[in-house]
Amino acid sequence: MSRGHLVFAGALVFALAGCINEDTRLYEIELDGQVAVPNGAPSTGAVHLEFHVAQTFGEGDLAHPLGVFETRTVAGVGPVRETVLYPLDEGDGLVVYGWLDRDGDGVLCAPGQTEEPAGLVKLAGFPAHTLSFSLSLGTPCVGPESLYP
Amino acid sequence: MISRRIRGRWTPLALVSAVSLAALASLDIGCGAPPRGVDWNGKRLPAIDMHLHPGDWDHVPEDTRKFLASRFPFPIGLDAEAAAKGSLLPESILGEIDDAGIWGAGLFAIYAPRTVGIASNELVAEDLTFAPDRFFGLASLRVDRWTTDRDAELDRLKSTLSRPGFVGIKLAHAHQHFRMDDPAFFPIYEIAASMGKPLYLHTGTSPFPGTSQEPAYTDPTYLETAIQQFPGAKFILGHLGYDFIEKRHAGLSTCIRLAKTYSNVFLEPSALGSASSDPTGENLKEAMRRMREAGITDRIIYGSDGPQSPGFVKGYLERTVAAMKEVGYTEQEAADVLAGNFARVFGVTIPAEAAE
Repeated sequence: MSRGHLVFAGALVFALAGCINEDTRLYEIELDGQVAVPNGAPSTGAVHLEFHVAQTFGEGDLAHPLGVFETRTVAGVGPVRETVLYPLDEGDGLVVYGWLDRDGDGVLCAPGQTEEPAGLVKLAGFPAHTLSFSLSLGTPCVGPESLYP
Repeated sequence: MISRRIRGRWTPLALVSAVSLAALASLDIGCGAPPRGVDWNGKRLPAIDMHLHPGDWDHVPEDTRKFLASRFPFPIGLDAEAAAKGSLLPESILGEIDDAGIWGAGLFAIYAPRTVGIASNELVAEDLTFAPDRFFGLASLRVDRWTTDRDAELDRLKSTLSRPGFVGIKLAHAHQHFRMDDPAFFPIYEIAASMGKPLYLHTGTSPFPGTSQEPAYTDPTYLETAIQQFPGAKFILGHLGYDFIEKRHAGLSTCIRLAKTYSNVFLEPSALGSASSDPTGENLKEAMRRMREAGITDRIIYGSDGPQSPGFVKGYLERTVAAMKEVGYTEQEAADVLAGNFARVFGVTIPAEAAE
């Protein structure tokens, strides 16, 4: 193999590596939260949480609210402490959505189930490495799109 | 002397070639437009592909562009962007359906900025003018700011549906991120019912980045409340609830049950039988067989989900026709699936030249 071929092969490898290794800028946020249901409402079951970009940076008409970047499941309502990595280049603002898995099937309101409450909160103070929030699960069977914006 | 020998040896060959070419030309098997319709045991049946995507490459999210580019076959994939841009144009779509012998095509608008992008109602309206007798538009609307923009979006939808050439509504809960059972979005079905415009709904999972894959966004079971509540709206369940991630049937039984239970439910088997989603061809065949056994061939509306890549529209039609033949469809059943059911549901008249 000639020197020219070697140079070409090397350049090709670097070019491909450049295509594959796109940088993603992640911003670490420690979240200190409280998840609750309205007084008197059943509260047993795991809570499924979704962390969304509040507004994406899509060009023109492609900009849109919400865009999940992490999900977690916690044992139940009450205090929550989670660390998430926010994709800085995808958008702005932070939204936390959650729902109570009362029947433990991992599905929000499967057919016949109408009593699994959901809630959403947009966090004030973003961006910051430490944020707190209070999330009330009070609306049954809705996805984040029905609660925000 | 040498030249005379050569001349003497080649003249008969040239004569034979000329006669052969003339014979071929007289058989009309050259490079002209293929005949319209599908050959079914010697008879030509009209075909309509209800599911085609026009669009604008610049209105496709970057992640999805990369995904689409990766799916173009070699060597088209080497310049996927140019290929994709070209394939979404109305003249290209018309060329694809002409090559396939297809007479009519449904052109879908879509507003899914997080997943497949935006093909606006305005773009579709413009494309419809390219072949107004053969293109049929399905309008759509944005739902991602529903709590604030609902009334304006519904008004825009109604206005679009009143324009010439728009025959129905296209929705994709998984791509647009709204639950199939969320009553907040039921006014869309109300418009479908009151204006007599059938709804096409994507069902099943999807390989596009950013899709909501949870059951409430993909499983046709979640549509049952709306189907019951709006008997005047016609629901066309696209892709038969297919699982495009695992490449297997997931919602087929539900789709068949819904079609058997409710007279306002129709089924469309597009995309699931493609070479990439059903490599062996067995899944498409099974779907066509089970729907026929369930006695609902009068509810099946043909679609491909093209244009995707050059030749896809034709290839998908061939796969579907082959599947129908293999599982015993009669000529009448095939005619219903390929065009008759579309014509009945959308109120379209099929001209004689659709199959000749």
